[in-house]
This record gives sequence, C-alpha cells and structure tokens, in this order.
Amino acid sequence: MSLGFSIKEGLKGFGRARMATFITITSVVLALIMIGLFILLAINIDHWVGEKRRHLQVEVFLEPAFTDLQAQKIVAKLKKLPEVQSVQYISQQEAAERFKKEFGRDVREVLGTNPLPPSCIVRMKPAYQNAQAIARLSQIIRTWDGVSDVVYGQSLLKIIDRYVTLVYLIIIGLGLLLLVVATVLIHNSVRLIIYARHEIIEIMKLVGATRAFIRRPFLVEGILYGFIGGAIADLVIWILVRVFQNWVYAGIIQNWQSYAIVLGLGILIGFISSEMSVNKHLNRLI
Amino acid sequence: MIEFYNVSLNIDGKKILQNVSFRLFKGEFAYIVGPSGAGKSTILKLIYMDIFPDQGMVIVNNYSSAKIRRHEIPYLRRELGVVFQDFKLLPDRNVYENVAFALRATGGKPREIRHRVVRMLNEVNLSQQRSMLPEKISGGEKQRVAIARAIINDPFIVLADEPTGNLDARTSREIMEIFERINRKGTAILMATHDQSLIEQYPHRVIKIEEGRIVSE
Repeated sequence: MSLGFSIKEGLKGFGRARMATFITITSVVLALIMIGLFILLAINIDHWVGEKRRHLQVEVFLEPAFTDLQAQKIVAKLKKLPEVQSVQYISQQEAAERFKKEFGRDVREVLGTNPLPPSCIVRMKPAYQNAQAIARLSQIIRTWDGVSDVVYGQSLLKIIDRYVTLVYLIIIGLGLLLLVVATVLIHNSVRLIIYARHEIIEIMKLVGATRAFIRRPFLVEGILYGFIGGAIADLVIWILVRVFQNWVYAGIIQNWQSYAIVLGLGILIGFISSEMSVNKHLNRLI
Repeated sequence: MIEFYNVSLNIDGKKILQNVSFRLFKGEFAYIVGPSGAGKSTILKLIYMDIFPDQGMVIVNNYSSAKIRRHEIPYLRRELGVVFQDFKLLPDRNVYENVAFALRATGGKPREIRHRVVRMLNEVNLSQQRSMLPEKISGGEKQRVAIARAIINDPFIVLADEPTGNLDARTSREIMEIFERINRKGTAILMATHDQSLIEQYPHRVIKIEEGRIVSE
C-alpha cells in the first residue's frame, strides 16, 4: 500500500478542521514549553549541585615541624588513593602568604613566628564527592603519621546529600506527571480532529481500506503536530531563556540536548496520542 | 453467494430482525421493501458486516459472519459496493478524487487509478464534471459519483440503501437505468427502497419485510 497516500492525507489533514488543528498545536506547544522549562530547571539544579560537589575539598593539615621533603611523601601517598583526583601541597611559606592576602597582615610580623602548618588540599573524583566517601577517607588519613587534622565542609555536604535525592525524586515525579498531562491534553485534541473527520474514516471503511491504512494518515498527522509543536515550544523556550539571561540571571545554563528532548518528546507524544485516539475510534466503528 | 440463515438481531433490547432467511444468487437484482424501521438497512449492514447477528448466520461469498476475523472485513468489503441515500461523498474533494478515493484507499497504483477512474466517469456520464466539487453538482450527479465509487473495484454485488430517496422521479429513473446497466454486466444488485413506482417500472424479485420479519417474496 502506498505510503505516499498516507503522508499526503496526513498533510491534507492540516488544511481541514482548522480550529481543531489550532487547538491541538496550541496544547502541544503549551505542554512542551512546561516540560522544556522543567528540563532546564533540572539541568540547572544538577549543574549547581555538581559545582558544589566539585568545589568540595578536603584539607589535610600536617605537623608544623614537617619539612617539605617529608610532606611530599604524604602528597605522594595521597595521590595513590583511588578516591583522590588531585592533591595540592601548600607549604608553611605559602600558607603565610595566603594569610596575608586574606587578612592583609603578615602572620610572622604579628606573632614573630609562623604557626601555620603545611597542608594538602585534596579534591575527590566525581564518584566520591559525597559525605560518606569523604568521611571514610578522612578517617583513614587522620591515622597517618604526620597528619594533625583533616577538615572538610561537612555540613554543606550533608545538606546536599540529604536533599538532593529528594529534589531529584520530585523532579522525576513532576516530569512524569507533566508528560501524562501533555499526552492526555494532546490525546483529547487529536480526538477532536478524528471526530471532525469521521466521515472520511467511514468512507475508507466502506471501500475496504484496512485498519492499518486508515490509521496511517492520522499517525503521520499526529507526528507532524508533535514536530511542529515541539519546534514552536523550543523557539519559545529559547526566547524565554534569552530574556531571563538578559534581565534576571546571566548564569543560567542550557544545552542542545534539552531542546532535542523537547522536540523528540513532541514527536513521541504526537505519535502515541494519535495512535490511542485512532484505535479507540476505529474500535467503536469497525 | 449471499445467504441469511435464521438471522435474528436485537439492538438495545429491541427486536430488529427475527429469523430472517433468504438467498441471493449471482447476478441477481432484488429489492428489499418495507416501511421505515422495518429492518431494510440492517440487512445491508449485516451483509457488509458493519453489524453481526445475535443468532443465525450471514454468508457472503466465502465469508461467514460466524467465522470472519476483524482483519478480513476490509477484504470482504472490497468485493462489495455500497451506495447510500445521502451519497456520502467527501465534500472537499472533486468528483474525480471522490471516485479515485476507493482505489487509493485500497492501495491502487497511480496509473491504474487514472485509467479506471476515467473509464468509470465515462460510464456514468460525469467526464465533464470531473473537476467539480460535490456542492456544485446536482443530486443525481452526486448519486452517479457514489455509484462510480461503488463499482470501481468491480464488486460482485452493489448494495443500495434508498439510492433514489433524495431524488426526483426523472433523476430516479436515470439512476435506475445505471443500476440496470450494471446488473446486465453481471453485477448483482440488492436495493432497499420503499418507492413502489420504481419497482413497478423496473420489476425484479421483491423481498418484503415488516417488523423485522420477511412477510413475502
């Protein structure tokens, strides 16, 4: 059977029942804008959490009496740990300079000596940027000879760990809800279109068109609605992001994948909802 | 080729047909007559298997209402032609496209479609009106388009449900002449009507039905 006929009929569908077409595309666009903005929100939250985790550092303080040579041994030992991404050694000298930069006064002049111990700033590999892994590692390092203390942003880490899973669960839940709402919305609109064309379905049935053949133009049409709706939604989201970046907060991040997801979801929802509507209608008629 | 065996049908608790049995043979022309609501249209719907009997069986060629599967129904319908009182034309397509639609919807090849539609439009005298929309042509012409669409797949039978119901006497005769011509070529005709004068002018077998029962043949 000719696929050309199905595509041609599907395209013709746009011209007919203009009101129903308009309502359908509008609902597709609105639903996809909601989903798209939601995806952007999720990306930004994920990015923020990632940044916070990335900047988490473990400070390992060494005995003040340690020489640089002794300290380098600790650095080498730290670097060998599987959880560790990088180690930065800060000598007593560097610590004093940092103090001066931060507080404006030279600690050696104030106290007559430099009490600041040498230290190592340890950054974790992404897989270990969580409270549990860092606590475990800290405990191990603390037992090493020459290590006087291990310090890290315990409280922030705990907050992130506790709430991030919850936030992600809420995001996934709301995302699924939005998807269902969008599908129902589009499903109803496609039903309007099919109802507007029950005449053509009836005639197709009478002349002996198969179910698959009757369905195909509507599926083509559903996919087209999804595609056009997705493209318009992407455009609106892009404009909204630009406006937001210019007027509210420039640091908002976005990526092409989120736009592709919106377009892909549009096509998928268009296909699924027209499939559901046509089947329902044909079951009643045949 | 078409057989009704003790067919009974109830819809919403109402008896529509009761123990209806008859046979229609190859190339036959028969009328189903009776008052409105007697069950004439129901008999036609049972033949193109839009509905199924509660009891009994309808056999159309090799298909039986008791055994046919849903996916086989379109293939049964390709062996039939159906014509209605209200023509059932697609208002946004011209005469040519309305006739061609039957072939396109059953997967005909473009060249074959062109060839057959042109021949069919000649046969029902509509070549001049081929590019006109249904709203621009007369009732008689609309019914001729519907007939052309019904016979373009070379059916063995044409089922006609009050095909002259919306037409004046002269146009009705024109339509009847077309049915006669189709029948002479070997296609059976089963026509539901309550127009007694047409039956007298074009006498054929008459199946009379009242309150869902065949009362005479």
